[in-house]
Amino acid sequence: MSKGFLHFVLHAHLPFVKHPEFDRYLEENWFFESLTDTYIPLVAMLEKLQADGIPSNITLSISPTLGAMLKDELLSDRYRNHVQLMIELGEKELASLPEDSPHRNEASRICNRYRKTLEQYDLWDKNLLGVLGILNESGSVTLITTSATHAYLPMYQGYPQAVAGQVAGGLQSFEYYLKQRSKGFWLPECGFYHGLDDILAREQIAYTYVSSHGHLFSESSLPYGVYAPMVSPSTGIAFFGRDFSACQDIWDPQKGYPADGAYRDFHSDIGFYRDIDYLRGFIHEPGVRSFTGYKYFAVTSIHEDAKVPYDHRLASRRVKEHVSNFLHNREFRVDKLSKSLDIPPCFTITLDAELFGHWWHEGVEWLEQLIRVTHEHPTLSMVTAEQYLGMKLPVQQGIPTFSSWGDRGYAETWLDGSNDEIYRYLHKGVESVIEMVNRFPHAKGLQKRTIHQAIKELFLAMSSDWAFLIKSGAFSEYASSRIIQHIKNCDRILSALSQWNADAGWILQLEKDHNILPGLDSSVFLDPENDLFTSI
Amino acid sequence: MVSRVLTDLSLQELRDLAIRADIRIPPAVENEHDFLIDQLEEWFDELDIENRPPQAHMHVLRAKFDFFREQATYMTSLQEELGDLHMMSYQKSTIHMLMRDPSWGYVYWDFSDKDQEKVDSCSELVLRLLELKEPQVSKQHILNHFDISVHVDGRSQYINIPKSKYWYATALVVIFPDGKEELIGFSNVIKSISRFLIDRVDQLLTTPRQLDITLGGFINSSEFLGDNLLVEELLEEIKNRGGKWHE
Repeated sequence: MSKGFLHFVLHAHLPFVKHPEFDRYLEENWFFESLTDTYIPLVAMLEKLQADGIPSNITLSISPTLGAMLKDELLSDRYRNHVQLMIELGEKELASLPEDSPHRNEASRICNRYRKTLEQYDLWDKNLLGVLGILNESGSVTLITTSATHAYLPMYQGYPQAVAGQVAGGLQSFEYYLKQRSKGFWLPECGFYHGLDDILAREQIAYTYVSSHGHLFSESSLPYGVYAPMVSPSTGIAFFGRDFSACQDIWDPQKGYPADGAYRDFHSDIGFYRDIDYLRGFIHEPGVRSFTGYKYFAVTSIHEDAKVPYDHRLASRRVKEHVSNFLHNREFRVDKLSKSLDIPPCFTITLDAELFGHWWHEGVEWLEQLIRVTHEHPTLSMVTAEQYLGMKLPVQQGIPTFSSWGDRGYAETWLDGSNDEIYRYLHKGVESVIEMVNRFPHAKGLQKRTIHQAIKELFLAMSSDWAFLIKSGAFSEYASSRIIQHIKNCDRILSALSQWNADAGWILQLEKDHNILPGLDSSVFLDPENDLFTSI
Repeated sequence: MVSRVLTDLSLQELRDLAIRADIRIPPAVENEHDFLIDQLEEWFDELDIENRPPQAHMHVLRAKFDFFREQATYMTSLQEELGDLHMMSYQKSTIHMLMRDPSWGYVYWDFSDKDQEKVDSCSELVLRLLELKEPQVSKQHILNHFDISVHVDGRSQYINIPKSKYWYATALVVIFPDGKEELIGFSNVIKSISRFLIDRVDQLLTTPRQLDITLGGFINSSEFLGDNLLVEELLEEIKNRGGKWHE
C-alpha cells in the first residue's frame, strides 16, 4: 500500500448561458473559452492516458447546467463558429506580424491549437459529455454531479424542499445523460450547513467534499484531521476535507505554480491592446474588447507590468519542475505525518476545473505529468473516493460545520450588502413553487411540463454565480437581469396555472430555450420528509 | 487605530459619519457617544473586509467570467422589477433568517397589509433574537433574548450572533405607544457556527501531535497560508497563551 494518497477532484461548472434571441452573445464566451482552454484539453488528456493504460483516478464533477450546455446543439454550432473565427484571427495575425517578431511562433502555435481543437471536437461529434461517459464507464475518470443549478445551498436551509429539489435535480440530470447514478456529490462552493447531510442521505449519496475548516471544526475530535474522511454517524456519508496547503501550492495567486514567471500571462491578450479596427469582426460589436486566446507574453513578474515574450518550451520545462515540487511537498508531509498517524494520509485536492488550462495555461499539462509520474511513484498514488473508502481504513466520525470554500470561509461572498436583497425574491419563488406543486400533485401532460418549467426557471435564478457576480461588481447588471428574468418567468407560469390560462406556445419556447434538467421529477417537493418549512 | 480616531471625534462628527454608514440611532440609547463608536468600528471592520485582495478561488472565478474586461457596475433594482409580481403579494407576514459567518446573521421580513397597519401605528419595531435550547421556537426552549430596535420602514438587518453552537431564531415585535407589545411572527431556526477549535486550544497545546495534524490542514511546511477567520483567531489564541506551532 502507498504511504500517501492524492485524491484530486476538479469541479467543472458554468451557469447556464444561452441566448438564442441574439446571433452572438458576449457572455456565451465564458463557455467557449472554457471549452477551448479546459474541457476539451482535459478530455483529450484523459483519452491519451487511457490509451497508454494509465487510469487517471481523478474525479470530475460536472454541473447539470454545464452538462446541458455541452449537449446543446445551438451552443455547439456557435462554438464551432467561434473557433473558426479565432482561426481566421490567427491567420490575420500571422499575415500582419513582421518576420522577425518574437510573437510569430506563439501566434502560429495558438492558431494550430485552435485548428486541432476544432478537429478534436468534430471527431467527438461535438459530444464531450458522451466521451466523458465512456471514460467514466471504463474507470479512467470518476464523474460526479452537483446541485441542479449550482445553488449555494446554505442560503436555502429554511426550505428543505428547495434543497432536496436541487440535490435530486442534479442527480436526475446526471442519470439522464450518463445512464447511471452519481455516488458522490459536489456541494456548490463546498457550502455545508447543519442538516444538509440528511437530505444527501435520502438520495443515497456516499461521499462529498467540504472545506478544511468545515471538516476540522467538527464538534467531534478528529484524530486524522483532514488526512482521512469523516463519516457521519447518523447517515454514513463520508466527508472529505480539503487539504488547504496542497491546494494552495497550485492555486495561490501570489505564490502558487501559475504565478511562475515562465508561464503564460492570462491578461495580456491581443483583444485588449491591438487596434480596435484591426479586431473588428472578431470581437463583439460595438467594439467590445474581449479575450481572443492570442496571448504572447509570459507572467514574467506578477509585480511588474513589463512582460517578456512567452516561450512554451521553457514553460514545459517548468511544468516538470513543479510536478516534482508538488510531489516532494506531499512526501515531506507524509514523512512528518507518519510519526503521528497510523494510516496513510489522504490529501484531498479540490479545485475549480477551469483553473487548469483557462487561468493556468499549462495546468492541464501539469496535471497529465503529475498523473504519469504518480502512476509509477514509490510512495504516493492517486485514488478516487470510492477506491479510498473501499480500502476499509479506520475512519473518524463526525459531521462538518457550516462552511464554504469562499472568501473568508463562510457565506459572505453570497450574502452581503451588495446581494442580500435577492433572497427575498428567491425564497418567495421557492414558496410559490412548493405551493403550486402541492396544488397539482397529479399533474400530467402539458400541465406537468408547465410546472416543471416553473421549477427550472426558479432553479436558474438560484445559481450561486449571480450572487457572486453581483458582489464582484462585474457583470452585476447581467447577473441581476438573469434573476429578474427567471423569477418573472416563474411568476408568469404560476399565475397562468392558477388561472388555467397558460400560454402553451410561450411555455414550449421557454422549454426549448432553457433546456436544462432533463428527467426532472418534481415529486421531491411533495415528500413529507422535506416539509420542514418554518413560516409564520 | 480606528477606535482611537473615533474617540477623538465630537458627537456631531460621529453622527455625520453614522449617516454615511447608514447607522440608525435608537431613540432610547443610553450613551449615544459609545454606541456610535461601537457601531462605526464594526462598519470600518466591514469596509476593511471589502477592501482585501481576492483570495485564490475568487481569482480563478474572475478569470472564468472575464472580469478583466471593462464592465459597467450598474445593477437593476430588484424591487422595481419584481416588487409587483403576483408571487410577491403577501397574505401573511414572513421573516427569514440566514447565517452568514460565525458572527453575523441576516434577517429580512415582509408584512401583510394587516400587519403593516400595526407597524404604521406602533412606536417601535423590535427584532428579537431568541437563543434556544432546541431547534424549536417555543417559550420553554428560549434561553435568552436580545432586542434590536429597527426602523419601521426597514426590511432587513444584519445581527450579531453572540454564541457558537446555539440555536437561534428571530421574532418581530411591535411596541405600541401605550407600551403594549404584539408579536408579528418568528423566523426559521438556525444553528450558530461551531468554534470548536478555539474551545480546544488548551487541549491541542498539550498534545502537539494532534495540533500538528489539525493545523496541517491549513499550513504547509514553510509558511502560514491561512485565509480563514477562525484559523486566524486560533493562531492568535495560541500565540496569546504562549504556545507556538511549527513543523
